[in-house]
Amino acid sequence: MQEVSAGLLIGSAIHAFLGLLAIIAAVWILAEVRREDPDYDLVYKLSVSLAILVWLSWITAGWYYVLHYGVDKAVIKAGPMPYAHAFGMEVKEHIFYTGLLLATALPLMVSSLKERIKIGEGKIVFHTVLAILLGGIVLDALAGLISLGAKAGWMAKAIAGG
Amino acid sequence: MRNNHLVSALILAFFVASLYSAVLVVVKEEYKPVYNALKTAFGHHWIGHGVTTLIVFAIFAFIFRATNLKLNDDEVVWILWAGVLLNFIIIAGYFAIHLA
Repeated sequence: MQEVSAGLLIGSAIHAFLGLLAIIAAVWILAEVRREDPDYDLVYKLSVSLAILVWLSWITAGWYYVLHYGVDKAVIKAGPMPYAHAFGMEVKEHIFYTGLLLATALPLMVSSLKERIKIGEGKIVFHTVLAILLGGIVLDALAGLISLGAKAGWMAKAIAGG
Repeated sequence: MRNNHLVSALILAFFVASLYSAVLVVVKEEYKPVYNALKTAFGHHWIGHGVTTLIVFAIFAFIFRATNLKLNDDEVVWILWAGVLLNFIIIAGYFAIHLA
């Protein structure tokens, strides 16, 4: 029987959890820069947190994707939803880098726009974070598709007695 | 209002790196020596893709910073969304076409 270690389960769950925390940080920044008197220090701390969370999400995703995804990938491709990998994973793993770039640039942008953010001119930060947030939601939807593809693949394999 | 050099440099570097990343997806899939070179150099093509994208971003950020170019808010936002959407359209479009 295929064994799934607790470390593997926790490791893959941490990637999703970090992504969720990054989305929460993004929503918080959007709300803060929309206020009449934004708290710059809070915006800066949240932007640094967002960058760290996205980087950690990349590292944990890489660990799972490079070392452990191969088994699921084979099952998905042989199952009833091969597009979950051929489209879902291929798109997810590559568009992620857009968010990584923006999240990396965000604290530098926030820092250099300090005086403007303090007086409520947060348009650039708002759009940058909105792009990260929408990207995060798209990644989440693709993750759901990949999970469904894996579930369908393993079910088909179980039914076939594999 | 004109934005400072750093914001302009970062957003232009983002645009270049975003396009580089999208084009690299197509090149990797269509021309396997590139895929294999990234795999050999970084252990996995996806890690190589990410690392080289970050390097392109850093290099162009320094280059654009040196130009003293200043963009206004609207220009920054347009370049931002152009980079995001072009990246998504090229990558999702490429894999959607290959599914058909």
